[in-house]
Amino acid sequence: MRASGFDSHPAVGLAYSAYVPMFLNKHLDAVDYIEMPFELLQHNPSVIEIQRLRPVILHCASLSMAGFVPPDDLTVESVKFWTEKTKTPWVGEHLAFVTAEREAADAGDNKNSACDVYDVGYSVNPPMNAANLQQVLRSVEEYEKRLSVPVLLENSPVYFVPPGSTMTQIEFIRELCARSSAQLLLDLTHFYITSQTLGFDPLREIMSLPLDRVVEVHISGVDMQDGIYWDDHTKRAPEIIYDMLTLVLARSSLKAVTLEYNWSARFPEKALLQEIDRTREALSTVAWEYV
Amino acid sequence: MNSGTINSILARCIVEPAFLDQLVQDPSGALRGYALDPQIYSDFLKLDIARLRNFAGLVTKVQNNGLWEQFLHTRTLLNYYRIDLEVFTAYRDTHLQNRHSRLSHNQQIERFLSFLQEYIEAKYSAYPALREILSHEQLTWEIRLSFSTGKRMLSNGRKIDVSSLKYEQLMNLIPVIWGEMRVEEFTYDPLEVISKLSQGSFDPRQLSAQPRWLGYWADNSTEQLRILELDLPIAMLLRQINGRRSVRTLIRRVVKGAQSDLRPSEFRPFLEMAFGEGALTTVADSHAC
Repeated sequence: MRASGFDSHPAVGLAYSAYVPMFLNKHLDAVDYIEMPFELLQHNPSVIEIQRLRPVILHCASLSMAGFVPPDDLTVESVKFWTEKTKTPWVGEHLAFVTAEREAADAGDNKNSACDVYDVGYSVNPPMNAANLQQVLRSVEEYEKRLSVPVLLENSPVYFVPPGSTMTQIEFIRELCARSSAQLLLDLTHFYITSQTLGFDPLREIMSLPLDRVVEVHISGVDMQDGIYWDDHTKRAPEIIYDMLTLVLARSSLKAVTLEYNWSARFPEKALLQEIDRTREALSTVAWEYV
Repeated sequence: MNSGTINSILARCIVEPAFLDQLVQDPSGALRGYALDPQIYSDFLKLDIARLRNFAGLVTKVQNNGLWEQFLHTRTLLNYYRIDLEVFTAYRDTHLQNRHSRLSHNQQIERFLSFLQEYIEAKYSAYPALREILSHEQLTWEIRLSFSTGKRMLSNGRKIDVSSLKYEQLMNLIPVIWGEMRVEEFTYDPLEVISKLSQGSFDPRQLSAQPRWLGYWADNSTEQLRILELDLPIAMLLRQINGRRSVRTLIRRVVKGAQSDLRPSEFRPFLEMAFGEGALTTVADSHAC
């Protein structure tokens, strides 16, 4: 079953949430696959039952690709276990760090951090510089070897420019792809948020990404609070996300488009069906045999 | 340049709100001890701390996505009023303590509810209906929780037909609530607000403040939460029930408290319904007071 359905016309998938099993029971043919977070499988292995209905693509936020504190062996072995169990064609992972070393400057008197590592429990956009680039290249090489499947790198949303950055995220990704055969998971919403934070035109700048390396795309909503755009998987994607998708479709060998509406245990069924239709409509505009 | 050190400082900003505060108030003190070259040090001084603090709030918000399940409309309203990021940023310290404590999932939810009640209380008028929706969903959650915890002392209610009782017989009954029931007063009708939110037509400018009483009853015979729409006298009557007072005493207290001229017969339809449905039963061996 590995890679089944991901070889020709791009597949449309749904990120797992509590409402998804019921949605599939009613609309099995609406989506081609389910994207499953590794962390959820660890917490509640029974959710893998969904695999009986649809193939699963594994998504991960635990490998801390751009970090200098690697996950423990047990975690990596567990990712490997679920990679094999799900027969996922690839693993999507964030171009980010999740853990960082607690340095001597922190006296260790903090009640919230009882060990020598800060565990943010969420993907943090790293400084865009040569040292981190090297680290990401090492991580991709190591985890692709250990997991025996490609590890797609997902752009994180930039909410602030991390100190120590010597290049933009776009330059970082370009350099990454120039130096390796790395493949990408392009989160269009993250890219849009980054464009709003940094003040560039997303429709123009997306063309400067190495789109030929994009294998999977993520789509979700955005929210604006305090004058800042934020990732929001409870809202529908704005129109511009689909404009970006059209640009990517024409320049990539995209295999999968995942709708990430998974922050709430409920998402309006009608809206979800409309989002799926919207995505399939965008995909239908490209003559795939010529890509 | 040590990128690991930069990651370390950024991560510390997110997991230690006090460190982030120090970075604002005393940046040199906060960064003392970290081996940073002048450019990186300067970058940290120029860092948009408000964005970083809000990002920490986003992390907290996402890590509390589980709340959507039981508190869907509270979270929807928080977002409607564009304050969910602000709320979760303020909640971060407690959330981090929760992560490192041995509190159960439900205890963590209770902590969040207490925090949110306190947080919105001072700003109540700015967010119409938020307090009502929070109370409604909290009561709903607590009653449903009572089905799965050991609070079901009275598990087999019996339905009593009191419609055939004469006036005096009914007045002498000593009612007791069968199972858990909570009676709450609202300024805005939470059921109406939820209906509007579900239809996407919620508009706080169209809300009218009208006192509304609802009873949240754990119907143990069906293990269902039942929401009873009450008028003020009935709400007061239910709140007076203590297993010792007769119907006559309860009505007298309600009439006196409300300073009204309600007649006992006006309570009869509700009493017949409540006994008939099993929400009320009698304490056979209690004495009327």
